[in-house]
Amino acid sequence: MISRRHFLSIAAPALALSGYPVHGFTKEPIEGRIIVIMLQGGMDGLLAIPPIGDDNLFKQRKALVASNPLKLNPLFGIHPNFRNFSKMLKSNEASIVHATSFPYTGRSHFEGQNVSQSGSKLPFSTNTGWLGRAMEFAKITGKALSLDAPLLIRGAPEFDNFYPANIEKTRSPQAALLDLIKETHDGDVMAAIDKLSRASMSGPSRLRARDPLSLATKAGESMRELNGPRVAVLTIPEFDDHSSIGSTTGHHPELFTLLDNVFYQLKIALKEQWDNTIVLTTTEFGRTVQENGSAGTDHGYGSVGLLAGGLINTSSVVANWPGLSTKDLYEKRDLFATIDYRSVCSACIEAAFGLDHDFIIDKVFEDKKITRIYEHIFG
Amino acid sequence: MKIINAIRGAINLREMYKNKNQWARKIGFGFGPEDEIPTNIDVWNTKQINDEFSLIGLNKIGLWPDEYNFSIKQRFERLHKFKTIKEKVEEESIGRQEKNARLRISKNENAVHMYDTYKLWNSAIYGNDMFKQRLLHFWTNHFTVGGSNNFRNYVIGDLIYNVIYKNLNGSFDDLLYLVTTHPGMLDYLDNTHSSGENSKFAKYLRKRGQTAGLNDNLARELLELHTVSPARKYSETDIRNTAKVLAGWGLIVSDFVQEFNEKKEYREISRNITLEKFVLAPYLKNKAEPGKKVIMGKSFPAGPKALRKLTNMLAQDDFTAQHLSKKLAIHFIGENASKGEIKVIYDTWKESNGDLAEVHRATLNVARTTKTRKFLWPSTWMFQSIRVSGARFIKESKSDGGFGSIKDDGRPDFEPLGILQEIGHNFWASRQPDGYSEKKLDWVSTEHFDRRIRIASRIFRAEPSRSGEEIADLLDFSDRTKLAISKGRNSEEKFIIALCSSDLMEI
Amino acid sequence: MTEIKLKIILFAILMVFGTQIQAEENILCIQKFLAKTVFNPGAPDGVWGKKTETAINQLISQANNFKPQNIKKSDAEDVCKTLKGNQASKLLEIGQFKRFPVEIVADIGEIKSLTDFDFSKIIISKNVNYNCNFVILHSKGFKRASGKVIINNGKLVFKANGWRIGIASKGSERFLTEEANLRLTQNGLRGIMPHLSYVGEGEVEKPVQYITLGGNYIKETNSSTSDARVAFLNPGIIGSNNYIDDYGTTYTFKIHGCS
Repeated sequence: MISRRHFLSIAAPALALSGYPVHGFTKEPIEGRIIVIMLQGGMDGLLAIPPIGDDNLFKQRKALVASNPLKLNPLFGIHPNFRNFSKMLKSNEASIVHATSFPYTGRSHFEGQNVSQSGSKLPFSTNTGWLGRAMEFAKITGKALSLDAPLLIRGAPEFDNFYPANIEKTRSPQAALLDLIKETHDGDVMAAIDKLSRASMSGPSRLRARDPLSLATKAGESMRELNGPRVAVLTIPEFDDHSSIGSTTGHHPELFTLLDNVFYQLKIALKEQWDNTIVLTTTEFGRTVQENGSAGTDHGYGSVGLLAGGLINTSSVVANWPGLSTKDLYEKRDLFATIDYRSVCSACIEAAFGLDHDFIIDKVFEDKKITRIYEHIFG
Repeated sequence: MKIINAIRGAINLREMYKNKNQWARKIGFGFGPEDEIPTNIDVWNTKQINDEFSLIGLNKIGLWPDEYNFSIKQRFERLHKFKTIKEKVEEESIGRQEKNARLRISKNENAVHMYDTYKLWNSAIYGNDMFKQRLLHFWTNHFTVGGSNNFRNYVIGDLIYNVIYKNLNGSFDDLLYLVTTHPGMLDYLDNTHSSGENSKFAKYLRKRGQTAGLNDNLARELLELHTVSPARKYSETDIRNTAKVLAGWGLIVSDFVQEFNEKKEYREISRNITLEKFVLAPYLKNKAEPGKKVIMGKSFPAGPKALRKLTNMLAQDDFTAQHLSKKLAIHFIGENASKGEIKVIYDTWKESNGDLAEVHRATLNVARTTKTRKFLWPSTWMFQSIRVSGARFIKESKSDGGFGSIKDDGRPDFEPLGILQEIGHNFWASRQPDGYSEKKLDWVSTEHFDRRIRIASRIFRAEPSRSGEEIADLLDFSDRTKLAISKGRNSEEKFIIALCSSDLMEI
Repeated sequence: MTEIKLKIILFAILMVFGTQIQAEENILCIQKFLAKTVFNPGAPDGVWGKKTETAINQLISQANNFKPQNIKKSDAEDVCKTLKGNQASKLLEIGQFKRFPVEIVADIGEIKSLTDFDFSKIIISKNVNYNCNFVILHSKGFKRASGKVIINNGKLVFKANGWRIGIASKGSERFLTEEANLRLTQNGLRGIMPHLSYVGEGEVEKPVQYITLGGNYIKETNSSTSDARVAFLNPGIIGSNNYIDDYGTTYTFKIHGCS
């Protein structure tokens, strides 16, 4: 079990690396922003980014390939529903990492979701998330767009959550009332009520919707504010398509459209801050290469990561392509993951917060064997 | 003798809850304006533990309608029906809108967990068995089975009512075994995907070039969360061997094994399996791991009887008594329950050998004299608020907008599930196996507070018969709270302040 | 052979041999380096084969933004120097992953709007031009939206209108005006339009739904014709289409009072 020591103040000598003046930082701390979109349920990477140049794709999952993928290069195509994302690829604002996964092969949602958020190899070994820990070291704030703070962001020095209530016949709490309620509580609760007060005083939120698209708008808007959060976490559920997953159209493709619109909406809402932002998806595992008996796929291993944002330098697909013939598959059923997704997470932390790679893998992920992939995405 | 002395000892200390209304809140949901306040609280306490209660119906007069009690078999039938319709609808070439509409209608018609949630609400607000209901919430959280889109939502209610509730006065040995072998638990912790490395099932799949093997999710949680806890210092081998004992329990609810099913000699696992087989005999020899297993020094034979032997061993382990006594204390007494308080419960557990009636009785008695306060779960707080204020939250008839009526946009008019989800405390929600937190700080985020205030205003609109000031008097609120209430500008504000005060959020 | 000649020949042989050994060493150095990357040409054997050439070219090209390289066997010494120099760790890092540049040739075109509809196979009532009113009614009779609509060569152009959907009504005017894509046909209305859901106090707004109208014109009981165009030609006669939203509720889209 990993026991995480809690760094509340960074001791100077221990962490001065490579002679840089600020502990753990590569240069002056960067004011970048990170947005993580958690795709819950297991996203089918082969459906999203089909390796059209690999003959085995059609041999192994004929019925699950979209009829008109957009060709990105001789090996890879992208599902036609990713229109906005494709535009971003064309203008060097997006990248794809394929055949990748967190180092977890157990195929359980709970363990997988835990690992993809905690960033540790063993499920349920820590109470904090990789993003929360990175935020703690970089001393920045975040916003979770959900009712509960997801594990991913725990450990951060300060975070807020936003998730409009859906209880009919109720009204937003008003400041005067909140003050009176505060008078009945002890100190530890007052901070939460204070935050609520502040929110209520800034006027009614224009948007009282909480579908992922509306939350994306909210995220973008608040990340533009002075002293606003620099991290946001969004969740898109329902990727667990054990039946009728779809190919050109269908359930999974509809989720691709939603995800595509979320990327677009984030760009629109962030406006000038888009240049300082990196958005990345995570998912707990991919799905089986072949379809199961109900035109769906079961839990797998390798999948894709989609990245977008102004911090990206040149669009590309990064993949150590393992191949799709049965002998190349993990346990003869899943796409192999040849890239540790923690490399991608580390690169994003490096790009947005300016923390040094060696520092990140040591202190945030506590695993010195994570390879640096920064140059391939942000270089 | 020791048990009786322990109880006597507890009673001799100064009782903290002289106010009967407050006592009812400590171990139950409080007394509403229409509840009879018992004259002798000792008698009432004993009844709360010993009596059998018939479930109050929707309209407070009759019993809970039989048509809303679903056996495990009925649950599977409804699920099967819904799934069949779903497949048919998805295949039809109609617009997405119409598909969604038809699926929604079918979902409502074949729903089960909506009724289960209603039952939970109804019992909390009107039931006479309030201590048992609190215990039900506690144990349901301890043996967390998270919901998902379909299968588990259908069977969680069965786990709650037909397994946990029915065994609240039994032995922990029985409860543990029944929960561990429940289809919901077996599915939730992936035991349905587990098979012994040397089982016939796994060998068959390996011959076909695929891998099948042990999944140790349930084994791990059985030791870590449900019984002995990591304090026992069991090894990874112990977990692995527990998984070996568990392998074979639970049928997979997916079509992954369709091809396997078609092979004659393995017809036992069949997609068209009858509900009886699925429900009543969830053990499959072909998936079981042959041979002896050694766990924590004890040996377990092959075959289905090994699991009962294992759960008995775990149930009777000293560390289980320690672990669960602490949890009970934290839930009813508070986060800062003292070692002495925990020990009383623990001693009773050991003396009675895990007799839950005795253990619960001990818990109740410790609660009587504790000075520690508990920050209530949001659902407990909400049920108490509704009950104590006398709000007419569950409307009595369909035409009145009550249970069973449908809103103009197709949703049910009363959304107990939705509200539980909104306050973050839904027993049918998808969540981690360690369940909902008992720590105050986990429930005090901005959004959570926002929800509570909204719910309080919602309760106000449900015509409570007690005002904020009356509640403050009844429950002996602090002076500072009474002062704050007096500053409320109207009766709604006063009501909300009363409900959202620390006095009502804690007990 | 004279001794000198022998020595010269021996020296020459040694030179060639030595150079060969050096060349082999250079190639080995390159192959061993490549073996630590994803551009692995196979077991290091000191021989400059096609695999080695391809691999080293790919690595260096990838490190130079995919500028095509032309590294030959003769460059082996220089390459080996580079692989041992201060660029080495950088190259090693780059070599851990394979990167495929994105070269989108196809025209992605304008983003298809959510209300794009293929009218090519539908006969639109082109010669119909009218000023009308419209109303969208909930199955229980509540008015959800109303306003003015102009039929211009069969195409519906919405003018002043609004949705009556509770707290989300504000700002609802633009949806039909900007986004509806409807045409009048003999069988009623075809196309796609945005539909907004009712939002009660305390509830969250639901995402806009895009409804496809199916051309299922509903004849009013006192109308003598089932031709929607005829109905609209006669002011006072009402024509309507039904549709169902995501929640299973039926709405009726009525056009009336045309002039």
